Amino acid sequence: MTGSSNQDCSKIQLGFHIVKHLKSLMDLKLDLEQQFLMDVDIGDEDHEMKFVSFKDVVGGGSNICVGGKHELCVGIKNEKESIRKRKKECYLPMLDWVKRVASNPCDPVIGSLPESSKWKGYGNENLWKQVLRAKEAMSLKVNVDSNVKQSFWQKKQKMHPDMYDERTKKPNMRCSQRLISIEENLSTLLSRKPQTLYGLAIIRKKRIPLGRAFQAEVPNWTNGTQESETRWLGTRVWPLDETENRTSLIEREPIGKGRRGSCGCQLIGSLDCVRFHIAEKRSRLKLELGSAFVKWKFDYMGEDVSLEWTKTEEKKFARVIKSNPWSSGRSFWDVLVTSLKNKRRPVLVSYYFNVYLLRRRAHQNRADPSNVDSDDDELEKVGGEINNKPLCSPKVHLKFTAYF
Amino acid sequence: MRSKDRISYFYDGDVGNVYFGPNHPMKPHRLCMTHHLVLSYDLHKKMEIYRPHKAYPVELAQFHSADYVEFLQRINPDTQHLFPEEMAKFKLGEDCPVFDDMFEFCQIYAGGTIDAARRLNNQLCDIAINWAGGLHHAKKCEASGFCYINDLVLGILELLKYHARVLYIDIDVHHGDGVEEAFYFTDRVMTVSFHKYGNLFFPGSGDVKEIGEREGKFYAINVPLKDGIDDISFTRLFKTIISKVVETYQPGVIVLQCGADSLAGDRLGCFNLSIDGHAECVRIVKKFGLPLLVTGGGGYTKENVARCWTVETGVLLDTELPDEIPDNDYIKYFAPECSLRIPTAHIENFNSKSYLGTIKMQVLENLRCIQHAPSVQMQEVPPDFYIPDFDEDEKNPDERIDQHTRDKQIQRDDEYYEGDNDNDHNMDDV
Repeated sequence: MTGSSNQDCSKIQLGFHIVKHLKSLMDLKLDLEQQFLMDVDIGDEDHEMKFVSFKDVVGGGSNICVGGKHELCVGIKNEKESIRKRKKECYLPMLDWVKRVASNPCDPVIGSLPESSKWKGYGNENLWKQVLRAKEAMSLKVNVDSNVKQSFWQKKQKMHPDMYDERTKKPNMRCSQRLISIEENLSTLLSRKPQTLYGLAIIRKKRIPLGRAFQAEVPNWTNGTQESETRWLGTRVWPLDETENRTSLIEREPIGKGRRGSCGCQLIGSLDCVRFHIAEKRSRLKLELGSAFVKWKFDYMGEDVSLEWTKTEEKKFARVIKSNPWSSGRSFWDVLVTSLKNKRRPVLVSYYFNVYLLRRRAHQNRADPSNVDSDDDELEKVGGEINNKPLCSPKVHLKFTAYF
Repeated sequence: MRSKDRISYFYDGDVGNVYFGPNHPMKPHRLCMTHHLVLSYDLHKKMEIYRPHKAYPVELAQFHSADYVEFLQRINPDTQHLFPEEMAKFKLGEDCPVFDDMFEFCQIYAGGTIDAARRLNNQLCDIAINWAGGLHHAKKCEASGFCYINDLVLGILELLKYHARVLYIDIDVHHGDGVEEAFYFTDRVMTVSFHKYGNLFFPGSGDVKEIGEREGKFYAINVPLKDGIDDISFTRLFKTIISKVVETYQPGVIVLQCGADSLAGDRLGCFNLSIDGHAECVRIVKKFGLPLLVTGGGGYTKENVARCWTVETGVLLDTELPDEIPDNDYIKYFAPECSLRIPTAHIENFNSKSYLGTIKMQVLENLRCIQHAPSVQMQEVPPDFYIPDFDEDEKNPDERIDQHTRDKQIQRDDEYYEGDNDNDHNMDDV
């Protein structure tokens, strides 16, 4: 076992162990969405491998032989290098992450793995998410009509948590002390639930639960209509009540017309031109909407929100955000609340979305228009000063310059 | 089809500054941006806009358990540390954080969907829109996937007071598990969800084999898809399946959840739909001419959410919108292109023709198992001896017919399509 495992050790390690109990040779190719091809070479029946998590990987590319019935498995075959080399390269950051975790699970740079219920909220830019998806792809069957593979993987999955418990109890396990301590460190770092292993949940086929605690109570249809509530139907805000006084506007433009191609401004597209038209549209909307303008909180939208802020306060706001980036581990919101005590949290949020982010987008639009991103906005990836001064020279006539 | 659909649109100005917390991908500010964009295109002139009432706890408890609702009402960020057991029991605190005005936010978005359902029931409109709603993951006794109260279930329960059968369609990239689970064992609601499935993608359910159980068997449809599906594949599959569903199930009303995370470039999604592709689904559903309740849902790239739901508001109003976004307070969010449409990504579509064909065949096969419309027996209208009480063709199309009469009608073959079904010639090669 160990002899052949040494050969396997020469493969790149991802730290996944695969349980196999098949008697026949199997060569599984699993396609990940990122086209990550891995050959899981199960070998022959003499091999027995355990399915544990990546915690057992020792970093630095050195070989790991846990001995006994434990076996390294996942590797990328050297023979198929030509295809995999290209694909491997894009996975080097992920491998580095795994190695780093294995060598020092308490490394603060790694951070902690959220619980499985949180995964939805994280995108694939997170390395740990890539690792999870790689693991999942390896462990779950992909093809609907591959029955043999299905039974194999199902069996493997069922054994997973048990295998883990068995492993720690085995007395004759030739496992290095270092591995055991790594395990313990990891287990404190990452959360553990009964059905998960270090936060790596195994998808079991979920049965929809039945019972009063899950389903809605649906009455039988009585073929006559039941009384539907006629009182609470919403309060009409638009069109306005006939009794409401408002200035009548003469409609010159059809509904849904987009931005006009040309206007009467001296310098079309300049910052002043844009500001004027936004303000013009806003006043028009205010006249037209009447009471609806206030009901819809339009008076709290857009950069005009900053009119309630002093220049000092705005500078402080920007300074706090800049000095508390995501990478620092601190949340700038907590600091904002304490350093701008006269502003309640909803006011801070409103300023953030209506003024700060908009100006930041303007900055992005100018600096790197092909790479604008307002949704990782709280990660504050854009560096540099947010310049609130008008950016474009009045001599520039380009259409979108004013937005930069 | 009716000559002109009356639209009721629901919005509350208080949703704009609701904030889930630092770095949380769900940003209700997107609703504010959407509303603003809708107004800047002057779409408010073609519809009625309502502020919903804030749903009362007793209304929320029509579906949710009373202790869950009560806990949601009283918990706040400052006291949550005092109730660790309840927080864990109700799955609050991680994906579903406790934030300021959380309960009020739930009341607003749930109130919107409930009010929308009631307006439809009372025939005060043909289509009702609540972009703040569509939080389809919430379960009876727990929060899930950024959803606390399941407004869709509450809205459907309201519609069930007036309609024998309700069809629920979900085009969010995530499986509509909360709604499916609530109605898994009944045939009065048919749930159809198109979503990404596999590789640990949240929530993990939604396999094609989930078809409902007991009385609800065959009344749940799941269309599991892989990464990168594009407009053509998606809309073709959508039209085929939904047409067959409506023809077989004959619902009295349709609820459509339009989660925008199935768009290309979404922060959490993995599909490759353009806004036109996404909106085409709305167009297809509207064409059936049934009362329609439209909600929002997921969508984590704010600007694209605003674009998408604005275009879809236009679709529901039969208004084509020009690509250039008009000046408005949030124009910088849409710069530099200031375009209403978004490009699709250059990513591979992992949904092969054969895969989609397999899914389609399985779904259609399950649909064949529904012999006749459930709950409301159709025997009084046996096809062979059908003699209408009235001449269908002479009926005034603008006059609403009551539910009983409508149930007796047998839909003509070309009822749901413009022309002669000629689009279907190409369907079979999928």
